[in-house]
Amino acid sequence: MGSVQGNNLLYFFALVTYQQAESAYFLWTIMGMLLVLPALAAPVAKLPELRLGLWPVSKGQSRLLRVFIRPALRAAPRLWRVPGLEARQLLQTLDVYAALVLAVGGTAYRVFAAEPEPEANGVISLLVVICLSTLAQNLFTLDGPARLRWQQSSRPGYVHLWRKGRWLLGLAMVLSVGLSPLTAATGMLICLAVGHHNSVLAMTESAAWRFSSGQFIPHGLLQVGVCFACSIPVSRGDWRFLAGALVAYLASLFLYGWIMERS
Amino acid sequence: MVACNGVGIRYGEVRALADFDLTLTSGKACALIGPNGAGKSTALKLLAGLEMESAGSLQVNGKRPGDAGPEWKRTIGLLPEHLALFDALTIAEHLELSGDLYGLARRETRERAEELLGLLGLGEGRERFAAACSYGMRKKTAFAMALLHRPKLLLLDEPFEGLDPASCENVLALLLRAKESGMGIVVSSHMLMHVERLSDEVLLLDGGRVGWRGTALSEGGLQEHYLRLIAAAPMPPLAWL
Repeated sequence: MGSVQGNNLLYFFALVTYQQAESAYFLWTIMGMLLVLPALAAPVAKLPELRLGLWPVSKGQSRLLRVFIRPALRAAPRLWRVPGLEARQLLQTLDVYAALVLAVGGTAYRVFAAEPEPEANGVISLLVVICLSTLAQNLFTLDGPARLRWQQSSRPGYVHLWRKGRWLLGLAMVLSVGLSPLTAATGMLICLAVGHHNSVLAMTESAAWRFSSGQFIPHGLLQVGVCFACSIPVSRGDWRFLAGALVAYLASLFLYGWIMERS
Repeated sequence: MVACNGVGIRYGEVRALADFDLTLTSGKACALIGPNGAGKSTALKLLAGLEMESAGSLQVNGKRPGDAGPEWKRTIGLLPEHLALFDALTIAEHLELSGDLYGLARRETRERAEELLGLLGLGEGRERFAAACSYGMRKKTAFAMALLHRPKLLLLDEPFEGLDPASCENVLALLLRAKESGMGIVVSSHMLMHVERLSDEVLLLDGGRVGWRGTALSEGGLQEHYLRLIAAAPMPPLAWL
């Protein structure tokens, strides 16, 4: 559960639980499914593999425990054929799969519901963005002490931030293509603009096959609040907010890129 | 290439480096030797721009590292003390990332990475995650990352430690080749046999100060010289051992 504590998804869950408790059962069930294996593995993952070999456990028990020690190392090899390092790292976080579940559910609602609520497209698109928004606060799984590598890079800092951001932006738009992709784009631009701060200045220990972590307060709150404030007007056709989000994103990109070079 | 004059680093009351002088031209190698905690890694971080000097003047590849921009970083290849590898990346992915961070074309990265992986004996383990690699493999991966973009100056923190003898020879051969091609090398190491073969100048650091500097001595001589300068602590008998 540790990784969920700093994840913006909790804002969404809290809101739904408060507004419509019966709808929250479904969400908490999905959450439980996404969490159950990694959460079970969490205490075991702290075991040094060497210790496990020395303990008096049967071969079967040992084999089972080994699966959980480093889930990142047991990932499907096919995933490693995905082109683009950032994309591979992105696909190793549970945030993406939570967003996928929500996007598929939302699109199904739009297609199959007898009289779908028109405003729902924008709102569901934003929820997809919220699922992905914590990723905008870190460097995927390429964070931690090895971030020295980013500091030593000879490329301008904004290039790294853009390379990360474009995948999130693209993913948010693709997932909400059946809903409201421009609303999602506005929301993600805002989340990235706010998230650059933590991506560059706060070191987040991240791990594969977990929800990503960020700072719940104030950055997570700011992401969710400004994201909704700017994106809802876009879903109603006010494109000025999309332009504003783009300007905010570009300003943040170059500012934090500059800071990244000098950190 | 490197010009340090009277450089010092302090952390509050602690003096990590004092009166550090070093001059290095291209195609030359300098080794930093000395006891643990003598300031060798600090000196390397200083040259890489990861530590700021609190006294003296410093120029590396024409710039003061503290003021240098991203383009200057392309001229530096660093093997850091703690390797700085990502647990969730494979060995091959580390080289892919490194090529990208230093602006190499994808094809060039792939070709150089293939050659380095082969030379360092990492070919078979290339798809293994760093977290699942032996220390030696991790060290060789970090070494390959330092070399991949062909920097002007290589800064290597203990490149031989943890490697098997054959790998040590390979790393040494690569470094001698790099030197011939005009790269400057500053290396910290306790493997004095290799230091002798590589270095044009040796600096012995002790307590953050240069205690001795000289050229590489004859085969086997550096070890004896070192022990004359840094005497091993007296070893009283331990009743329980």
